Amino acid sequence: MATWHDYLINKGTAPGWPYPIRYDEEQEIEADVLVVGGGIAGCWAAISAARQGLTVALVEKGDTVRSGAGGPGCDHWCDVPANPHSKVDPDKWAERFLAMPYSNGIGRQIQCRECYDALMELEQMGGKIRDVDDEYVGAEGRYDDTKFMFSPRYSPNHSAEVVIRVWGTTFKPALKKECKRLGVKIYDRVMVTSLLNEGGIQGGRIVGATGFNDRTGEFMVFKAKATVLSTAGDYGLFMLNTELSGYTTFRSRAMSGDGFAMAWRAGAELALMERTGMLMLGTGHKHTWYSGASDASYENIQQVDANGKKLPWPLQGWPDGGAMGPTPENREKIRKGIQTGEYALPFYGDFPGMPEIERKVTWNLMLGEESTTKIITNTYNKSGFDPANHQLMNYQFLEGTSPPQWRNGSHAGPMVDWNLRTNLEGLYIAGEQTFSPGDHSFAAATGRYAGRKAAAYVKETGEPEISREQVAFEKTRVYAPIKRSDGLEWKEMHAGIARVMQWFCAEYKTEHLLNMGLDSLREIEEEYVPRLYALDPHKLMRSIEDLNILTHGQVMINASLARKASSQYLNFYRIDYPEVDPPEWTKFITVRMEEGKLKTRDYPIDYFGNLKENYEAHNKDYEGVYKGK
Amino acid sequence: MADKKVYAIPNITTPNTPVLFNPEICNGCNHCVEVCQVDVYIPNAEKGKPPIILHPDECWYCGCCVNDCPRPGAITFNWPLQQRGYWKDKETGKVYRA
Repeated sequence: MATWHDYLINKGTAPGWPYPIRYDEEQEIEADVLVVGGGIAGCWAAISAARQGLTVALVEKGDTVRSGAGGPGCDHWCDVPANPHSKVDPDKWAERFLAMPYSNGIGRQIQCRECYDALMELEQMGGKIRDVDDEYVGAEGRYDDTKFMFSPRYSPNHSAEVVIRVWGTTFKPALKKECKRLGVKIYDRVMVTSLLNEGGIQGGRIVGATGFNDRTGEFMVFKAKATVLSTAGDYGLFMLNTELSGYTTFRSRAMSGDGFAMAWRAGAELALMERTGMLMLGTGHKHTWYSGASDASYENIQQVDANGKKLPWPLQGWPDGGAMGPTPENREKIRKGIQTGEYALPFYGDFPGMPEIERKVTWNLMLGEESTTKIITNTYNKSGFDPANHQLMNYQFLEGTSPPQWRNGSHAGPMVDWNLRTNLEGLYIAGEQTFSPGDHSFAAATGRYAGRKAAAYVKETGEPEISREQVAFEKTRVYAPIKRSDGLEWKEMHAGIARVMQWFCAEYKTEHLLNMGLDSLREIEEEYVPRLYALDPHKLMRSIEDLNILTHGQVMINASLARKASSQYLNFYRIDYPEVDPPEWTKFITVRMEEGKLKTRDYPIDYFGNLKENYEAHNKDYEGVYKGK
Repeated sequence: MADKKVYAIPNITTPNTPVLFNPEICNGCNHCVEVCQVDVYIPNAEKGKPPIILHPDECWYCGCCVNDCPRPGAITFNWPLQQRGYWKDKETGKVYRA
């Protein structure tokens, strides 16, 4: 009797809400530093600020022990050129990213300089980062002196050695434990709904936040001298299957663009909001991604066809530097080969054909530790799969690619300076929220850095003052859905917003379509949001997330209107401005709100200047493990 | 069959059983309720009993509840049918499904 309907049938009544309902109660918390989002970046920011002797409040929608994209695990500590076996210079490695426009050079420089330091500290906290149990002796890329295990990623024939294989399922519990040890006050199951500006004025200093407990409904007011925003992206803006809301969007539903929305409303300047990524899911359903072979963690595996014939597919190993998929030419060759009968579907990952030790590394370590894959390999093992004898089916080609309307809206966010500070005093950004990649090591390094910089600011700043009017306004906004008991449920709202984005801001973009999108979202805001209802605190959280998704959609369309050119790098194509990446448009365009009005601003693509010089100028007192090569 | 009481129940969200509990092993510690990112579960009002799966539709199959369960066997991952992958025995060519 574990399902809800079993309970209903057996007991003759629905279960009562298991937590106390506290809609009418309010808690006020004061801290030097407030961290919004308890994922990898948030935990590191909290740890880093607490080490400075400051009081820190860490607020998380789930439970910090496993929350966030990196909560379940992580197999690659990417781009760690400051490690002792690295063959590249950290500053040069950071600069390498700039070859690709729209990189966050600041974040990349921090990652390259400091993510090894973070890794060393993580080990002290109890994270497992090397093969101390000698399970993988003899594996290529394993160094017997340090027991570090390198991944071939970005390191063809060991030319770089910049990605370390790690036991990431140990990380999140270790980080939470360290937060507690340092006295960080953790507020789990609390959704932050807004940032508070000093005097309640949009664009003013950030002096705290509001939120509510997503189990009890209790309202929370946080007052802080500095705030680190370490929320993630938004994987559901273009996509919601109302029946399978949890696994149609690649990441968990908790990632609903909360950071974008609250930063926008507070007056922060946001960059690259027009950028979208493809949801790399043929069916739109998670878990075929990792059961298909030839994905992120499938290193050193030959792909073969149904008759065992080798495919022109990278091994994802040392010769090809971990290349994850066929080149466009080879992809076309395979596609034609399928049609002419040269290659028979389905394809398989040939685990039995691998050297035993490499097979063990890939199946047990990489797939065992990478985010949500541990449960997958365990399930295969239990049902009789043995990688020594069995080939794993690959779904690429078989299931096709996802429609271009299925996108994600991440790798965008507040514009940051060399302190990872936004245009708003007191507001710092870390992790994926800094218009950057979702790498675990990036999140750790930037979180750690933002916490340090926020702490330095706190030591020089005065007492914050919260606007009671702003708090009251927010409280009214947040609780509106629980005052209604019928109307529109959160899933219908989410799916409705996603449809607008699919139709008016996806593959075909024109001024006219984008404006239709804005009108449609305005209609949802005016006609449907006042009908949004929530029956309990959990559904209230989902409803408030919808309002964030709605805001995110509006920001994205406004940013899309501001970019009057197409860009391959941003997966952004305007039919009315078809020229792709013209030099005069290769720049950051930021959007923000000032007194309720949209403001845009341009920044040169290299606005951060020389990476090494600026990093060093801003971190004169920093003592890391890396001392230069 | 005709004796079985039939209730009027709306179509049930599917898949709705991301995990299976073994009530013989589960002692209702609710650790899975805590580690879940999205509150798929609520604790059972009856102490010592397995949690109730309240929001199966929100499960993103991260597996933390199963991986972190302190009592092995108390909770088993139950992959939805449409997600269950295939493999082939290299020697015999026979195809199996997870």
